[in-house]
Parts: sequence; C-alpha cells; structure tokens
Amino acid sequence: MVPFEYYVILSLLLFVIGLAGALFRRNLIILLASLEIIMNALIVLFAAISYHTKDISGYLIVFFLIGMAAAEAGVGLTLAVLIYKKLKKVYVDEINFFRG
Amino acid sequence: MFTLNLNFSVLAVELIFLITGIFFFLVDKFIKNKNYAYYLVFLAILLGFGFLMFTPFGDFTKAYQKDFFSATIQLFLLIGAFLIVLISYTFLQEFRALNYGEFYGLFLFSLIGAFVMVASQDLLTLYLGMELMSIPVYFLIASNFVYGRNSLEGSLKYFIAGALASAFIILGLALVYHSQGSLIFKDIFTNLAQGLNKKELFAALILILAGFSIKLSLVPFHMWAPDAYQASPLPVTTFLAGIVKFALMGAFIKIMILGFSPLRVELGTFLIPIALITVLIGSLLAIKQDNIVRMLAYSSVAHVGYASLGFLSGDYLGYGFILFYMLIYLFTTIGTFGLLIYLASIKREFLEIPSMSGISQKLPLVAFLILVLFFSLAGVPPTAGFMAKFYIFIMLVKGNFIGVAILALLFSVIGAYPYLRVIKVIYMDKPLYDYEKERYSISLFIPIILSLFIVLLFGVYPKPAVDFIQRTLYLYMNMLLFHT
Repeated sequence: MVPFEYYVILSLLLFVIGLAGALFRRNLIILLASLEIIMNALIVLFAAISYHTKDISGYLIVFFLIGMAAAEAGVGLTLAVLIYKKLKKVYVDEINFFRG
Repeated sequence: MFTLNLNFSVLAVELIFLITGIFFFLVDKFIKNKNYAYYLVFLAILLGFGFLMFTPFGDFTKAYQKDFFSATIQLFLLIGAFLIVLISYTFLQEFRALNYGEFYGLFLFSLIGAFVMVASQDLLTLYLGMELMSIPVYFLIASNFVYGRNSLEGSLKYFIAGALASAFIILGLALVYHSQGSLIFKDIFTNLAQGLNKKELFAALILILAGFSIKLSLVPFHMWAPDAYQASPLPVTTFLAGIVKFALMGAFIKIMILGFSPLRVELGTFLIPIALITVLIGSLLAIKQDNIVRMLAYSSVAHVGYASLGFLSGDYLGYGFILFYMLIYLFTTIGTFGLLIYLASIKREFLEIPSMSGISQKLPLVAFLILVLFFSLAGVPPTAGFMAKFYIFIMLVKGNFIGVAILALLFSVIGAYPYLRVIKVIYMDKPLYDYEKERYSISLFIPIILSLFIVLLFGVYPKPAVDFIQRTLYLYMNMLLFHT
C-alpha cells in the first residue's frame, strides 16, 4: 500500500507545476491545460484523503470537483476560440489592450 | 443515520429563477420581440420578493439554510438586482445587439449562485455557489465583444483570476477536510472551540481568504478588476461591483461567524496591512485614470478595502457595519452607473472624463445627481457614504486601532481627489461638444432617484438600516448559541 504522504507530495507537485504554468507560460491553450492540472491535483488530494481516512464524503467532493473542472474548461475553451476568431491572437502577452 | 430533509419551499426563490432562466435559454430563439424577457424577469423578481418574505425559515438537507442572516442578505441582493434589471432595460434598448433573453437568463443564474452562497451551511456548497455566481459573469462580460472586441481580454483576465481563486479555495477545503473529516461549519466551530487543530485551520482560513481576496480584488490580486470592469457592458459592471462583492462579503462574514469565529482576532491582525494597502493603492491608481469606468473600478477596490477594515477588531458589531457599508456602496453604484448609461446613450465619448466637461450647462439635473452620488463615494458629510465610513472608523477606534484609523482617514483624503476632479470638470470647464438631450426614461430614472433618496436618507438618519442589520446579526447569534 502506498503511504499517504506520497499522494500529498504528488498532488502538491502537480499543483505547483500547474500554478507555474498558469503564471509563466504564454500560450493560451497551455494556460488552460495548466488550470486543468491544478484541478486534477486537487482531485487526487481529495481522493487520497478519503481513501486513507475511510470516509466516503471525500469521494463525493471529487465528483463535484470533476464537474467544476469540466465547466471551467468549457468556459476557457469558449473564450480561447472567441479570442482566436476575433483578435487573431493565441499568446497571452499579445493580448494587452488594457493597461495601467 | 439521519433523514434527509427535502423542504422545497425553502428553495422557492431559487427555483423560480432557475425555471425562468432555463425558459429563456429554451424559448428565446423563437421569439422576435426581445423585450418579453424584461417583463418576465420583472415578474420573476416580484414573485421572488413575495416568496422571500412569506416562506418560513428552514433547512434544505444539511447544506442550505434560510435563516435571519441569509434572508436579510438575500433581500438586499434582490432589491439591488431589481434595480439593475430596471437600468439594464434602457441600456439594452440602446445597445440592441445584446438584447437577448440569455442576457437576463445568465443574470438570474448568477443571482441564484449568490443566494446559494450566502445561505450555505458547509464549505462545499459555498464554493459551488461561488462558481455558479461567477461563471455566468464571464459570459456576460465576453458578450460585449460585439461593441468592443477587446472586452474578450477583460473576460479572459477575470476567468484566469477566478480559476486561480477557486484553486486556492479548494486547497483550503482539502486542509479543512483532512484535519476535520468534514466541511460543515458547525463541526469546524466545535473543534476550534476545543482548541483542536488550530494551526491547520488557520492555514486553511488564510487559503480561503486568498481565494476570496482574488474575487473581491483586495490588493495583491486586484489587477483583473479594472480591465474586467471596463470591458463589460455597464449593467454587468454594476452587477460586478455591487451585487457580486456584496454577496462575497456576506458569505465571508458567514464563514467567520459560523465556522472560524474563534480565529477572528488572528484574522483581524492578519488583515491590517492588506486592508490599508488596498485602500491606498485603489485611491492612488484612481487618480490618473481618464476613463470613468476604470476610475470607478479602482474606487471599488478602495471601497472593498474600507469595508474589510471592519474585520480588524474581530467584533460582531464591526461585521454588521461591513454589511451596512456594502449596502450603501451597492445603492451608490447603481445610481452612478445608471447616470453613466444615460450619458453613454447621448454620446459614447462621455465615458472619458476630459470630454465630460461642462455638461452641467445642458444637463443640470444629471450633473447634480452625479455631484451627490460622487460626494457619497468620497464620503462627504450629508450623504450615506460618510455615515458608512464613520461607523467603520468608530469600530477601529473602539478596538484600539487608532493608528490604522488615522492612516485610513488620510488615505480617504487622497481617495476623494478623483471624484472631486470629475465634479470640477463637469461644473467648471467649458463644454466641448454640441449635442441633443435624450429624454429621461422612467425605467432608468426610478432606480437613480431611489438610490439618491436612499443615499440622502441614510446620510441624515442611518439608524433604521444600521439597527436592522445589527439586530439581524444579534438575533442570528442568539439562535445559533442557544437554539441548537
């Protein structure tokens, strides 16, 4: 059986990777993928806690989080498609109309 | 083993809004005259008022509870939403490409989210309500791309900030769940009162605060706010500045009262620099803005800073004054943006401050209304904005935060400059353009006059509103401590 700490380390690692990707990468699609990685890290964390404390409600939260992650991906991809169609841009640092 | 309590009459208002919203999405394509949506929303909100006033309090399972606190905040939210629907009617007559049923449908969905959030009994329901509140707003902001393609950029920035906020909140939830085994506020309170897991829960509270401060645009995370405000259509800006922030403040006060109340003094000490820097940055950056919506966005950052000063003393009275502050800010925002919609319908350039010069000569009524509402935002005595700030500062002095109170007072002097600049431009400069007056439409000027009336009334005689809010909190605390 894999110890609980390994799951926590895995999920925190994924969280940090996702956060770094969301903050530093320029491509819009990679940015959305990073947000998905963050959500998946949290899902792994909840499932691990639920498995190791033998408590069922964590699994339930996992299902809600999967739903939220799907909704967020839907909104993000809609915006990405619209931005590509209307502004012809995919890099985040080119989308800089508002400043100051 | 407990039995589930499926008491649907408690959810009546949300169900009405849900059915109306879904109806728009199903039917809107087949109806030619789009103004039907306005009347339907009008009817739904009136029905909502009736159900909110006359349905009894109670639980829906263990996640949702209608009680004194949530019903009061829902009443304020509903009044605000009603006024915003009224002003958005006039706006949509002018900007016809946005005039679809879906506009009101997304509006109602977002309102359902706000209602669920302030009435939730555990952190998961609170989080889901928060997402339900913000996801329709992304679409509403992005819908403005018909008039300015760059509004997609504001929507994208708000979306990324919101997604990061939800990630932080879920991380906090995971910490709570690991140390408690449950996410229900009452269990958290029981454990904290016994002194168990204090460090873990404080870390979780800080993570949840980080998420909330991204959504509330407190300072380290305020960068999205001006872009999103400037990008969105004006009624959506009103919604974002008034209702979303009010609901978020209400939900955070609910967390602090129900769940983490043994930690409220620690939270107050933690918030001192954040609140002060928020006020300072919001006031300073508002000075050099030329677009008036952008200026008001920075001023909303500063106003949330003032409101969060009420958390510092860790006193429940201070929490009541936060609600009073946000209520006054809600009405002032509705009045201000109503006037901006009127000005924008005359000439689009009036949203830039330098080109507003001299409108007092042709539009004396509008100029006077802007004068009173901006005095309220700046906190000049005969208006309600002054009373709201006064109560917050009184709580600071009472809680022995005299240095903080003096600093906040100085910052509020800086913060008065942008409003006074607009008033100076309106009253003292030469007019630039020649233009025709629009007629004063009823559905636009009823909310404006009402908000002006409320601002003046509570500026002179704030006791009824303050007493109402404080008594609600007092009753709620009593029911909580002695009734369970």
